[in-house]
Amino acid sequence: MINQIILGLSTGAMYSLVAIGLVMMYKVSGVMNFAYGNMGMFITYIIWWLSSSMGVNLYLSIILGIMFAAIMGVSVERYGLRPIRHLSHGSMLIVTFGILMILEGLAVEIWGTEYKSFPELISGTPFVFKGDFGIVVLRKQDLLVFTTLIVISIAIAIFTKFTKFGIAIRAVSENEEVAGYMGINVGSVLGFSWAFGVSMAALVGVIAAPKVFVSPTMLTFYQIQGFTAAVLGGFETFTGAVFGGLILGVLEKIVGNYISEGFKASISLVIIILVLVFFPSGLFGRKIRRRA
Amino acid sequence: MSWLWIILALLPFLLLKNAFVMTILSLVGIYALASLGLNLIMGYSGQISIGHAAFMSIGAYVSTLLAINYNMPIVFGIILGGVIAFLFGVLIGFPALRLSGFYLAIATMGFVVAVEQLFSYFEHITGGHAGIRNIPFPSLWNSDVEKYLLVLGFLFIAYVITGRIINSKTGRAWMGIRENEIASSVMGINVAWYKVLAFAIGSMFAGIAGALYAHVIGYIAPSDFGIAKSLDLLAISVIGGMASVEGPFLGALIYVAMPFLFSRTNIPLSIIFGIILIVVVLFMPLGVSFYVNKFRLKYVNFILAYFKRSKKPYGTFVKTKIGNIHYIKRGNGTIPVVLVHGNFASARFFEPLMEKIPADRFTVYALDLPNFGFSDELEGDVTIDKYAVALENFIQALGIDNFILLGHSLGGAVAMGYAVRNPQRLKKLILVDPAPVYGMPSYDESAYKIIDVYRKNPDMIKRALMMNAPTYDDEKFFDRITSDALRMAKKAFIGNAKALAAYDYTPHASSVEIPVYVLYGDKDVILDYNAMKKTAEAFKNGRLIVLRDIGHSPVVEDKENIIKIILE
Repeated sequence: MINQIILGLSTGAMYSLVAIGLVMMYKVSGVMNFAYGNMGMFITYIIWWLSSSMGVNLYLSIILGIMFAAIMGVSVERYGLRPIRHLSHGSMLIVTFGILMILEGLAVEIWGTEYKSFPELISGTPFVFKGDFGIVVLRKQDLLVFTTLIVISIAIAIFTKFTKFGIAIRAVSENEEVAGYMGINVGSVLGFSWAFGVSMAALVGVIAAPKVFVSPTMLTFYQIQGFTAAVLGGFETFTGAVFGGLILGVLEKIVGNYISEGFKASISLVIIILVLVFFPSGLFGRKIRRRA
Repeated sequence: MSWLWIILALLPFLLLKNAFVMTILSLVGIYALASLGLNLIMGYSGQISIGHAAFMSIGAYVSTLLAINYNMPIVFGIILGGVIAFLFGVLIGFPALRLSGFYLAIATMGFVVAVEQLFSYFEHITGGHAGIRNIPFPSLWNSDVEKYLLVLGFLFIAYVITGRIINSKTGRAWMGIRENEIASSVMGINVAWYKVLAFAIGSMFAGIAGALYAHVIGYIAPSDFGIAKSLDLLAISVIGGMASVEGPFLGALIYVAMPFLFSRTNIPLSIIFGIILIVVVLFMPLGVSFYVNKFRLKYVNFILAYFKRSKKPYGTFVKTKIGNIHYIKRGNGTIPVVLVHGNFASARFFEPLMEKIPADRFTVYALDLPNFGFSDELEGDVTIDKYAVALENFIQALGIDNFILLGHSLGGAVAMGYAVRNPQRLKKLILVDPAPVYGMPSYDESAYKIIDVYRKNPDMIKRALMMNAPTYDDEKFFDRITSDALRMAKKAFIGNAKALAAYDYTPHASSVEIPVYVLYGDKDVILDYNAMKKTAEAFKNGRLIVLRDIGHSPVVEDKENIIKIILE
């Protein structure tokens, strides 16, 4: 049971990482990024290509890849979304959907559909704890995921609470127009949110790649679960994203283990719909009454 | 648009019996039907759904399983598929009430993923991931054409239903909810009921589309209706244009046909489609249908307008100093009555009224003002005074004296203009929803440009006329008036509107001593009560009569009361 929960927490932590990127983009720019998974996929491909074909050091190529991700995020936001910000959310959704298709097509065209293996960032024998609670196995990969999640969560918390730019981000997500009047450069905040979001996608891609292999659809499932996690926790808070992901991971594992593997996704989705019916803005979301 | 449907129905018999083309067209119809449903949910009632394909799969599996296991006739199977999808729509619609925006999007996304998984899981019923092959389609002579006609039939019904709903109370309620939920609930709209209804009807369309898909393609698998298909449907709706009835058709056409245009190139389909999506959203953000409509309004409909113009005069002409004037006459009584029509109208506007005026007591004349109908065009700018002078000339030419003058709307202003010059010739003046005595308010130049759009669009004229006569709906009558209105002089479309803002008879009106009746329908959307009160007060013997529940056109809506006043 404890092992199941730890495994669940490990997958859940991945969902949390996905959700953090999604929430950052949604909070600031109000767009649900459908291309998120494919952006991560595409950059993972680039990292894989740099390290395996071009012979660049793996860590250097990861850094290069994340830089490329930031550029990609900024340019998509600047040229694909900002021109239609005043229109419906539906339109912006469709733009990200178009990017999703283009990236998938490009990946298939350049690298084909076969699975590519990706080196483990960290490997070694798992830690095993024995005690009167039974045997607990903790893999090093799980540790990597947990560490990344903890570091990023704390970094975001500090960044948004105590730095000037972080506060600017919160201001823009609260009210874009007024933030602009206060002298905040709304454009750069929007750009940053997308750079950060896509970088998170790249990070998720790199961490997930050894397990799911590099392929055009490698992050699709993570993306859907990331959405679900974000919704479960409340789409507007980072706390919600982190805990939503962890809860979802554990829930999924338990359902898969004790009820049926085939129902895994369905039952967790049903639970989420039920949660949403009773907490319409997520478990950690604030209920805000606004003048419509 | 009925001719378009007839052409579509005849298409397979006219030129193409090609099975491939028929299947493609059927697919266009299926996607149009499904996204018509999505358009009701998203475009009209403003709820986001990215799980629409789930309802397609429900319809598809219900209909297929009924056809295979129980030999249910296909049409009933399809309808039942739609009904079951309707019920699921209600089921999803209720939780959707509590959610909005992205939470709703995720919930619907969860629904589509769950439905896909469930259909794969129950292998003994649904065939699992492999799906169901060889879905039967018992055909009489040519299965592809029959499939096409079946799709077309359902699509037509859905199209008619959509058009009716959109223009009914329900559609207005949906749009109200879309714009502002709180405000609509304050207005007494049952928000929950209408939102669930939108979801249910939209889902029913998707269910029917799914069932048709199963029978047309003959093969279904759970993955055919996954999240990707849902997003495709969303894309169709956005490309075609949200909240438009034609949008889904154009969107589906682009979605299905585009791949074939690029089939010879080596570029993968998803790249092409992705680029199309982005280009459409960035450069045609309101959807293709908006631009198609704009193009039609500007460049195509004037052909229609040309053919709809009245060709044959229906009355007699009289030669006056300012040109020929066309008029109709009825009755042979001793008291003459002259009727002056309003803007976008003609002598025929009074036909229903004239029939009711006792012919043995009155002789009724109704004329086409110059610039209108079959009368000659006036030179120079349009002014109300010129119309009044033309009326003088007409009355002189026919030798009418001591008569009752009735003017409606713009004609009311003309009648006032006549009355202040020649009060001694009148017995009484009846103004039916007239332009106020001090003129209409003047508008910005851009507003007048909009009026010029009417010149090329008969449908809009007819709709405007009917809107101004809310309690009278003889469509044939308005068709006739529309074709007369299309004969208006080119400069008069904007000219009349400007002329109506450029006169003031208040100073002269007080010297008019004959009885003046101002009739005002209280449902008038152009004029207000105060303007009418002031108009009546401007005349010495003016009297305001308010007609309850009547619009801007009492001459057709409330003939009895007008005749009562003529007789008085």
